[in-house]
Amino acid sequence: MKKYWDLFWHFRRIQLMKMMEYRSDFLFWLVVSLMWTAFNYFFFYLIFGNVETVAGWTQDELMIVLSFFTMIDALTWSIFWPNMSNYTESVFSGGLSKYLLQPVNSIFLLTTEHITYHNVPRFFIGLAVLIATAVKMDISVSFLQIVLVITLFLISFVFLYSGWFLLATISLWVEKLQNINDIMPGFRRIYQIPRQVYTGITSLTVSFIFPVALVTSLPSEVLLGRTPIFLCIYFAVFTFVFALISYFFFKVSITKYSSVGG
Amino acid sequence: MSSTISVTNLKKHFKVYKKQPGLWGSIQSLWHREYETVKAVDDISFEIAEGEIVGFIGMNGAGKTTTLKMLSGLLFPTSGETEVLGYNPWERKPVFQKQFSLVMGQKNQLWWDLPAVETFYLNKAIYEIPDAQFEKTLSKLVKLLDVEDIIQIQVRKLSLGQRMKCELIAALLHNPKVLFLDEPTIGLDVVMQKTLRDFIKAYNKEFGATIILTSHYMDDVKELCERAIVIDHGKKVFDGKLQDIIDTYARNKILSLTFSKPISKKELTEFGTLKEHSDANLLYTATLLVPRKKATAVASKLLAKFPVVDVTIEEPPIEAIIREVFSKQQQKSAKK
Repeated sequence: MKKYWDLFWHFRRIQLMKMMEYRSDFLFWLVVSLMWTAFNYFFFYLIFGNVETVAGWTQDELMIVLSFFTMIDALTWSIFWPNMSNYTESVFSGGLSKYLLQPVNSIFLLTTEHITYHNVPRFFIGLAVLIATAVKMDISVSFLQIVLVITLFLISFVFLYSGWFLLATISLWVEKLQNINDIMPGFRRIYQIPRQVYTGITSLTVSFIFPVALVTSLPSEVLLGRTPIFLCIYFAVFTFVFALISYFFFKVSITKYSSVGG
Repeated sequence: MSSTISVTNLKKHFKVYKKQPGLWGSIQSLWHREYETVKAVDDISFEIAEGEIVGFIGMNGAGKTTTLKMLSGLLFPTSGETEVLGYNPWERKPVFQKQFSLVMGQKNQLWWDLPAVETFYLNKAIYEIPDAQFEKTLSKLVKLLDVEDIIQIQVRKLSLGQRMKCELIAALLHNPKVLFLDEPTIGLDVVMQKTLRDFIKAYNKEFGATIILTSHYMDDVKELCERAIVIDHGKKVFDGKLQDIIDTYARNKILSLTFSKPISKKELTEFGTLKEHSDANLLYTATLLVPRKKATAVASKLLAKFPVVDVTIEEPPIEAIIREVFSKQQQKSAKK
């Protein structure tokens, strides 16, 4: 375990060194990333200039959802995007061989090797807005609530990761599938807003069949003191099974790896 | 001697799609594709003892790299069995992975944007190399390959030869017992090729490492390997001492001559088979094929009889020897 912990931080150091080799690139994307965040919040202010509530959520409550979204989104672009892009590209180029030869779990290497630091500030912006909004709303939370919120946030992280990893693994079955990495970001729009916005068959689909709408809604609801306990358990179990499927799919798929001609 | 590598009836077949040429071929491929099965490795077996250096020889696409990839656990065999250091490579157990290295001359394992030394430190963490062993091995390898000045320069700014040296260091820091070298000298100049060959020889001697080497350069194989395995179209066609291949199949040597005056074709043909003769631009050259055992004597006679400016005696190219090996095998098969 210590080896993996050390390796995780070793990769972070390497990526930091890499980033500092290309300072202009880092600064450019940092500005772009901050602009995305600003546009997200600005867009919601525009909506609340015309309405009082959205699907029963007030502006401050929605700000909580948006803050969880901003944090999850920061992790998506910082961790999932660079690693999964590298994964699918390495399958096509034959670079995957490097990961399979080393005496370290290949999934760990494929998941942790890369990071784009310019998106990390977004996480802290999201966290700051979350805390500021909670203070503004005078929300009092118990220790248990905080633990549950953090747990649900981590479950959401694993849920999105499992989905992304499963999709990226399909690239082992086909010759070229680099656009596969555009699918998971496409789901972001679903969890950018509360699950109550969806009704009927759409709600059934995004809250139960593939519960992507729960990613930001559940931690927000728990923080606001209205814990949907059944959904929380369902989401946790679903994520656990989903992660297992993703893992075993990789185990089977890796036998299909054909590398590239030598 | 105990067997470090054991391969039994190993096969790897790939299904590949054959595209018809041109745009119309691409359009047709949208709804109809023709596939064919390529037998990259087709039922090969061999054993390699501890400490041996074995040359894998074969033309492009013969199945050399595919075999090495299966021995490394990268590719899942279609059928057959492999055992390296007592492990099934495909299980990819860390305890096995810590004991071998695969170096591919055409692939870069180093972090491209950072100096090579950063990859060395990462490998230290990945292979859990103790501090003392790491420092000792690194300083030894750096000195042997003479790269003190370059390991702190961004990898992307290094020359191919410098990169290859760093690749070797990264691959050897954990002192692997088994080394798979896939064309390690490809693209390097002759001086660099020689340096790497000397280094590989020294590594084998010092660590008793078992090494499989593939190369298109006959000098690599000749200088490093006593034993060679020749593969053609996925099949093993020869396994034995390298000298036996050369003695058995390379019947001739090539004599390349440069004269100060024109010499007629007729005068030269009595010494051997004339392959090339030219007197263009006042440069009088000829190439003769002469029986191996008589090559030195023939060269002496030529030097005595003609105004020779330059003469070189060479082995035929490895591809020519392999073709000879393979054609003999085909003839044998046809007779059965």
